[in-house]
Amino acid sequence: MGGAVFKEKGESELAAMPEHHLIAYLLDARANGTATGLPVAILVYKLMSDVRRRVAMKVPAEAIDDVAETVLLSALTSNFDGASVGEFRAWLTTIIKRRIADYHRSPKTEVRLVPLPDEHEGDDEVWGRHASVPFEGEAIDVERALDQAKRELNPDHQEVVGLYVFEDLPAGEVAARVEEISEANVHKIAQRFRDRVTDLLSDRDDTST
Amino acid sequence: MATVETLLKEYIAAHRAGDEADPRDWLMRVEGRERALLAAMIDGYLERAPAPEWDPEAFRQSGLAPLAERVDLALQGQAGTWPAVLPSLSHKARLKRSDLVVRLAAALGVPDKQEKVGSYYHEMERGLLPAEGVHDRVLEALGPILGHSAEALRAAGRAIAPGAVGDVPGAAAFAREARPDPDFAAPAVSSPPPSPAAGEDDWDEVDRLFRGG
Repeated sequence: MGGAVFKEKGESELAAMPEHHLIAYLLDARANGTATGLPVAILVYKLMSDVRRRVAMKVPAEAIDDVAETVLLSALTSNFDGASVGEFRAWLTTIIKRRIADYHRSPKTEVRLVPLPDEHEGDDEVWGRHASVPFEGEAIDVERALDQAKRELNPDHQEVVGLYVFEDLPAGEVAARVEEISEANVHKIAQRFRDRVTDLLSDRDDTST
Repeated sequence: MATVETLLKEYIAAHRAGDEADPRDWLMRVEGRERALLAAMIDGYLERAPAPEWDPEAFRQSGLAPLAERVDLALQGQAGTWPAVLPSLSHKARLKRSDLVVRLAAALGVPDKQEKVGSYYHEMERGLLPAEGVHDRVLEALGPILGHSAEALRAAGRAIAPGAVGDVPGAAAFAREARPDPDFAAPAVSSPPPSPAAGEDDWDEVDRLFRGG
């Protein structure tokens, strides 16, 4: 969209846009002095329920709404320049993790007043140090094991794990979506992933005792 | 991992069915590392899960309209995230606007100018007042009332990157819906009082505090 003449879109067009295009449209609309109420409403509606669910797993009940609202505020007022829904979702995940970390670092601080730490882009250690409650410690071990097990896979196998393990799609459907992967391979790749996660968690147990 | 995967499948089915699908209901069924693993896997699913289709009626009933309006005010305004932050802080401090204004005017040494201070505070909340024009004294007075530092409030006022309407030459200072839809319009957070400087020839201490930087 960048560089082209900005054209205001109607509700049906905006509603059909994938999230990363909506964010790009929002940035362009702001830069062109066009109303942003409708794209903001659509994004808030589309994102808030699952952001709230994700936050609810990591902070006390009384903090869920504040942290979730801060995630949305951060996401919609920052400059996202990714090119796909997947990149947008990964970026949103980073914001969610950081805002949860902000909360745990200082639960009494108004989380809306904590700027996103751009200087720590991609630095998992920063996120890790901030989470100190017991559940968070276990959660970080698990997240790191899952992240590492995923990173060790090639892109096709990562997609298989995403579709089969994390989206619970049938193996046949996964095989149909990923080139040169048979249904039997889907099962094998998923099992290797599970075994690797188990091994990594066992390694962490060994090093912590 | 078998129990975790079974619970993940149940969770995904509930989420796809459009149920409330509060993950905590599933997390309660396991403990320790299994709980952490299930949380991470549900999170992995939710990261990839398709967002709901836009439904204006469901949006109206969701209670999300005020949040969307606050975000929009922040985007369109000239005061960073103040439109989102200030109402939330005063709400948490259990402060009525009128009480906040009385205290703010007193702290600024202008207890006889409450109406004007109130109008300017309203503009801060709506993102209408350029944050850089608000004197540190205002934030130093407001911070303790809201329970936060002046520095944090100043940073919130700067939080949004350039590109807002106020940065566009010739653009209205505060554009609202270009194509308003009465069925869609979110309820206003509060009705706007008249701009404090409008129709006034004299530039007094309150003007200097809120607009003089």
